[in-house]
Amino acid sequence: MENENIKKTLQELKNYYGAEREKLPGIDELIREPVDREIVTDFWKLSNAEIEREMYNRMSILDADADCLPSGPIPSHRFLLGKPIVFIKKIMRRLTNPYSSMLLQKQNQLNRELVTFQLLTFLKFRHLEKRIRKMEEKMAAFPDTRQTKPEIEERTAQKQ
Amino acid sequence: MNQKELYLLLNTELSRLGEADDSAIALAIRHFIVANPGQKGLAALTRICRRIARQRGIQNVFNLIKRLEVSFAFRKPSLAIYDHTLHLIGGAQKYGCTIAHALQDDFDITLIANKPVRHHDLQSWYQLDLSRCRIAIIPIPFYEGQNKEHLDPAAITSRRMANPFHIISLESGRYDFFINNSMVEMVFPLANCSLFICHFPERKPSSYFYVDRYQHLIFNSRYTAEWIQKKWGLRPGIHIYPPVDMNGSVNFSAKENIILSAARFDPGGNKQQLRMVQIFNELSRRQPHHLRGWKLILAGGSPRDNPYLQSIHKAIAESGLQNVELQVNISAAELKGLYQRARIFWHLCGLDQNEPELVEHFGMTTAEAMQNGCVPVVFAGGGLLEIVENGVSGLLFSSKDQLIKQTFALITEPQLLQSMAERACQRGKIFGRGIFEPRVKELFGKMLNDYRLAE
Repeated sequence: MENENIKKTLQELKNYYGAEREKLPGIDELIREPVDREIVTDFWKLSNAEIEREMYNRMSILDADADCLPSGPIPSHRFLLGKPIVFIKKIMRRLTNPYSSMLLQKQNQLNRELVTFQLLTFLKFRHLEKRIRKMEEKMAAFPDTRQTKPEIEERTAQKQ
Repeated sequence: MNQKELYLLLNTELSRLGEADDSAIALAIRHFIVANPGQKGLAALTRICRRIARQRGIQNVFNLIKRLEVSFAFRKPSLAIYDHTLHLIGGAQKYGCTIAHALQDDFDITLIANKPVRHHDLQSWYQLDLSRCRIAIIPIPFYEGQNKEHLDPAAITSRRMANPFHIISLESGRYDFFINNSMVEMVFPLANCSLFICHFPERKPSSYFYVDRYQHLIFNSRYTAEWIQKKWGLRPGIHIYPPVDMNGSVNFSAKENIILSAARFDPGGNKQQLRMVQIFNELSRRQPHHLRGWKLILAGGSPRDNPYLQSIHKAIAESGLQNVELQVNISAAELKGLYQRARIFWHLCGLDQNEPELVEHFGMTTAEAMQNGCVPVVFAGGGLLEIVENGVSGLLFSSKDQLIKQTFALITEPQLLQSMAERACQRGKIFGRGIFEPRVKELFGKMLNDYRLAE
């Protein structure tokens, strides 16, 4: 009987906390601590393949960030003050737009060019690596004519 | 212990909630429940749970209740094994499935996959009866849109992208034990007891790296352990070699003059089958008399439209070699037949490679070949060094010329070939399922004992 009571109570508690668990949006809330942290990569210790992967990843981030012109609507984060703040921000954006967009467009152009240049450098590296690999394969296909000392001596003796 | 002392113990544990370990709290509460099984005691338990939830989070109290259920033997412990590539045949997947097979009597096991896979598939791929395990398919929306067979964790390049594997992390919290056998470091373990199986640390710690949050880290070879330390800066924990199960009698008189390679036709060419064709060609040209009657067979799986496989076909055609055969995507039974017929086994993976991930991490096919009495002539690097004892149960090489010399020695000295084949067969047995499963059962038996709060 006692065991039955314990079992029933545990089951009820499990159902209750199981349902509560489902309501929470993420892991941080479930365990009451942030799970993510910044991990700094030591680039000097990366292998060749890892460097290439890292270059590729950084390229895609650069590409996504190249456009620095303001885009999308201005979001509101506050319950009551949100709307007036957004309204003021919109006015500010309108007023400064003719001047800022001129500068930002130039910056945008420069960013695009730089990203393209980086991409081309990356591709150039790849081509060079491919060429080196092909050359190495060709060299490996040559017969190995190196001889050991006893082989040379044997050959010399045969000639004599 | 009297009731007053129990209250004191419980209060001490609860007052140290911040730093107290989960087992100490669970044990104190268990004592408390046993001493106070009536309504009053159970009402107090509800209050305690509320307090823990407030201070340590809902997952913590959920885990505590699950543990108490198992501790009071109200149900079997639950265990989930996650593998994002369970729908594909492979060595790492066999590792996870063999663990499930070994533990399915003591645990309620769920195999978590992201793409559809059936019991029947696992049975035919690995000859394992997993009928007592449940399979749960949890699609990951991020990868569903890509319509690719393989879910590539490397596609998550920065923390700007949301972690698509959190859906699995949340699922892990439903079980008592959670094993991550997928080599996805981005799954945060929420279960009471968590294990990460590392087949090789492929990526450096970057966005969403949680391997250090697992309680146990299992590794498949000493080579992998070395790189876990170098790449992740973590101490590898438990060493269990992969299960290789090719048991059966070896008939040495049925052997033919075959050099066999069994490896996936990797589109990147990591397994170096093309090089094998070139080396065999060179060997045939150098020693045409001795090589007469010998055949090279390259067996392995390949995706459709594999340019690397096409280049091998082309190389064979151009060399004019009549004694080179390709056996692509053959069944397990056919592969076993090849192992039984072959005398020599070649494995070049790792030769002239600088990247540690391009070297064999363990080399299951080498152990399979040895169990079938093939003499392994394999690259001296990675996990292969742990399988083959050079000059005893096989031969190790570091260069192409060394491979040619060693193969030639075996071909021309039948006695050496025979004695080495017998020793290879003996050596191969230490990687069998008969060793793997008891080791797994012993490990989980100890863990389960602790989990049950057995005194």
